[in-house]
Amino acid sequence: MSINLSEEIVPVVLEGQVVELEKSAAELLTAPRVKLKIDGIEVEMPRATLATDPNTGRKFPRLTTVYDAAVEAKVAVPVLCHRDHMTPVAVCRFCTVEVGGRVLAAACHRAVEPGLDVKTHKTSAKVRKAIGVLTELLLADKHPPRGAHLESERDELLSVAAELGIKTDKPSRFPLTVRDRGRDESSMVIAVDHSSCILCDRCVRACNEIRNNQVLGRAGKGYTARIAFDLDNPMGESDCVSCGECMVSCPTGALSNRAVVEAKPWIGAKPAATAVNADDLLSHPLFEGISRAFLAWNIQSVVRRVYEPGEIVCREGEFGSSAFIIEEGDLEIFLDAEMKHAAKSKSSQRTGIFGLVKTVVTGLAKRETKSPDVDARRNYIPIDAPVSLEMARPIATLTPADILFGEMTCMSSYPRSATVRAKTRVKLLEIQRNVLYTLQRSKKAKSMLDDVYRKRSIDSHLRGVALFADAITNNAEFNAFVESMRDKVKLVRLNPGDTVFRQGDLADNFYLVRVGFVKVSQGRPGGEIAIAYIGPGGHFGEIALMSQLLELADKTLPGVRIATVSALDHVDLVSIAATDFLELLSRYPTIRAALLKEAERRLDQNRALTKKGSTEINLGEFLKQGLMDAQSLLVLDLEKCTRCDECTKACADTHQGVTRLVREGLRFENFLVASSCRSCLDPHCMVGCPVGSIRRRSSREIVIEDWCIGCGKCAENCPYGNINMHPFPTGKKMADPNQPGRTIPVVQQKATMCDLCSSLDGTPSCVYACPHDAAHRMTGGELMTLSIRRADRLAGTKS
Amino acid sequence: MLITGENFRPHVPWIIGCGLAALAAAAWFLAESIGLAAWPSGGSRVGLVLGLGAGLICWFEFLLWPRKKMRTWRIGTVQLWLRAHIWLGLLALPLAIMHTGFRLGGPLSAATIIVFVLVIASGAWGLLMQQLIPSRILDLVPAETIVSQIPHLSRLAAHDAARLVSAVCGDSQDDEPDNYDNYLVIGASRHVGALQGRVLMTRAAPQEPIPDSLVLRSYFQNSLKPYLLSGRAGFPGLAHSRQADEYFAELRTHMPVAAHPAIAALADLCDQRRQWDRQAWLHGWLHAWLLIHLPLSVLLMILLSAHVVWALKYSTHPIPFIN
Repeated sequence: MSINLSEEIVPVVLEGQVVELEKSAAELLTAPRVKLKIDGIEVEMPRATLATDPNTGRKFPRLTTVYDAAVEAKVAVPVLCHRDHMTPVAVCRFCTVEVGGRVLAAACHRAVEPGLDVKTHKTSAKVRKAIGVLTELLLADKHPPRGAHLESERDELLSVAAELGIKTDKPSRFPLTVRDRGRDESSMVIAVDHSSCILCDRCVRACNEIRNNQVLGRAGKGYTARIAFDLDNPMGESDCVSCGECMVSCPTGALSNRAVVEAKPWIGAKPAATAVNADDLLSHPLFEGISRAFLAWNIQSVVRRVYEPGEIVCREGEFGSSAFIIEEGDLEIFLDAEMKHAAKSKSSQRTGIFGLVKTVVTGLAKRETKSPDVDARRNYIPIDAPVSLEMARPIATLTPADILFGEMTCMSSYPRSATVRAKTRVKLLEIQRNVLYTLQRSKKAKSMLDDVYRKRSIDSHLRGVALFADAITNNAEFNAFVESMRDKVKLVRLNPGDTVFRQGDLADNFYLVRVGFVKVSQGRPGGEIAIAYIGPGGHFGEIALMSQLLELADKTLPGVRIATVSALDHVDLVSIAATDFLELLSRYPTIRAALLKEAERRLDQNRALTKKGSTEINLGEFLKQGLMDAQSLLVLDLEKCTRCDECTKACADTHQGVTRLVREGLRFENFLVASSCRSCLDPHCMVGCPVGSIRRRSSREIVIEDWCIGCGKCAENCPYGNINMHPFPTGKKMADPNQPGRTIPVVQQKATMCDLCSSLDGTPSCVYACPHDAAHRMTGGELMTLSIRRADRLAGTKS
Repeated sequence: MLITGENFRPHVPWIIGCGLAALAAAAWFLAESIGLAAWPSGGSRVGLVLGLGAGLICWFEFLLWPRKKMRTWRIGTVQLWLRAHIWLGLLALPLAIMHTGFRLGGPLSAATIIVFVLVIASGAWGLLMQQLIPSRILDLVPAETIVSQIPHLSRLAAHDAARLVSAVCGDSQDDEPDNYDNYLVIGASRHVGALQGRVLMTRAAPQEPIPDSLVLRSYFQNSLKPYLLSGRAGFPGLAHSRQADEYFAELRTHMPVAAHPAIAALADLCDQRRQWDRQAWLHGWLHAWLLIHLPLSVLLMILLSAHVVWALKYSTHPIPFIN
């Protein structure tokens, strides 16, 4: 849908979040649903759905197609050029259906209309014949992929042929083409066989739409038409970054894996990890519908691990980059809370000025936690698993029915929230972030996980919400409450930056946070002020819904949101519609009283914040720069720094002569935030690494493993410019394309970033080598505290 | 190393320790001198001990240099070493002076103590500079960059200015021929991230050449470009902001009004270059003392070694503990 810039932009609430759209698009998305028939099965579909641009994150309406309706009706329509996450182009016409007109229509492209009576190849001979001829013609025009080194892939065209009953082992009425359109093996990673290509354009869209690399396109006309890299350069000489998305998207194996890049992330893992092949994975219901080529390309991203009873799977507090699918056996999940409270980190025992700063900041943090908070009354602890743990006895059992745990650590790189130990002999699939991300895009997997929540997790989740747990203490009554909520809750999944609602919007839902964190902020003169961060077990959105109650009538505007709530990372929310919420209040007076008390507390806190003076927490600029998300900023005090560059030199000395920091960057007061990895709480850089080489091991720092293919995706994703691409010699040589007869060395680009000197001893050399006490590592919050203190001091001096 | 009230605490143990050591040494020295016609010499018991202490401290002080080169060694933070360097260095001065018995002695001894005092003085000067200049840089150079990058950034600024002048005057300069890399790169070579990328030229560049503005090219070639490339050394007439204001005011009188935004952009570039000149000058003051301190320290170590050998081997006085 094209954007009309002159059209009015209106905010609409869709799928649990606020989106700004052109008026016509908004009308389309909010239009009444239409009824149509697919092979006689009646389905009701929305006119359009909300889609997200994978590159910009921009929301846009996508017209609902006949193909979507067929999926809803569970009628299998064959597709070749179409993929759910790509723009439909309808070039292959394999999804042809009869819609009553003179010509056949492509289901992937034809929008739904009221009363449409669609006939697919299963009920229409005309359609079946058309697809049959198409299949035969395409089969006659392509060769099987060549090359002994090529990994054999499932040919989707052959699958369609088999489904249509076309025998491919017998000579066709259309003779096989004798034309050889050539091969391109110039890339060290991917081989291209143009003779196997059916020009479905899936690779082109994968490269340009999904990965935004803009390398692949078409060249030639008629029989010479082919896919082309850049200006028809050989693949190996083009700007291709070898991300593999084109190969993963190819339905015929024309683009295939040369298996040069061998990621081995599990070397030394105990218990041993065995790679799981794609066919094995596809037999698991959770992986149904995932591209086989994707799983083959990421073969090391999913491994099977077997744990004997008593063996630890993961420990509370560890960082990681994987989630676990339970195949067999039972696990215990528990907290070592006592040990955690008793432990004193080395950093807390620091002396000198840094120790003082630490003390001050810790003191401030402690004061924050002393404020009246529901956490203090919590009976259940929400964790990164389908269960919550009882405060008194924080242990629970996970079984294969729970399917998955560790999502939050994997997606948002938080530390593990609990320790998991094998109770019986356990078989687990450990999956990396790139695979989990793809699973979350899969409708089938999402519906399975949602189902698990409704059937198994809702009970412990609601018990983990202090509000409910405190209000209903009787177990039987609580069970009845859970049963009443089971069908009323709706799961909403948000990506970082998505807005749940905006200040001033009309209220429609109450929300519980299940996974991730949201930011609650208010727009005020002078900029946005963050007033709270709400994490798992928390709730929001009640004030506007309860504003009609007498107790709050004079304290807030009726039915209007008083703050903006947005997702800080990958967030799962549970929403309860306004009518259900109000019914809940009337049925459970204890919940009503607790919510009222909480709402009054929040409103009081809000008023107190408004009254604060000039040095209040104006976080606008600070948040805009993502500093609150930082766990380890390299901060230079420019009043102490003599610009001797010892920090940079120390960094270079530690990392084979290549510095991973630049002594330049943002400034706050007299503090310079140097361009160096901040170890963000939710590292954007980790999203989209095609080989999973950027990750957290079991600690805070982010590392780039040496199987990095140099695609630059992490550098592109880092909003702060803290990842650099650096060429490393490979030891290989090849012919110089510019000067025939001469050979030139081959260098491999690799991403480099600060790993907090984990390769040395974990003490950042930049800080260790600073002679002037100017370089410090600190969190965003600590920097904020220091900046405020300095501003206060200066203000005091002036006055 | 900046020493202020705010970060004074880590220095306190050093100040107390060194102060007590200096007082103890002075007390012993005075006690030994009672009843003597002259101050105890370097060869006396107290003189020798104090000299030995001062010498050992000098050697320790000298080790800071290799310590700073071994950046990956974990043998105490450089900051700790520097703190020790400062306070022990100051302690060495009274020890050494008492060791001399307030006499210059022979030529070697005299040269050693004079160089020693110069080393201490240059170090103290450096410490003073470190108290004053970083905050001056903060105040005076808002466009501060990395000093070693100033020539590179100057070339970029001159290149941008040349493009702006070409856009105004209509003459396009010949593009420089592409230089092929002498290696083949696999993978992405893009540099990305929110903090990178250059966005100059979006404001002042005119869409098409402005008539009657060719005079700008001669101004650019004769004065602006040399100044942007080399700062004051390239064209002193723009080195001061008042001179620059007059220069650009005069330039505006020769140029059509449509070109004035471009002139303002050029003035901004010159102002930025002026700040870099100022930064380089301040940076020079901040680090120039090392050009004296380091060679003198090396010389001191040579003289000190010679003095020790000379004193032990050729001294005519009996040496306590040895003779």
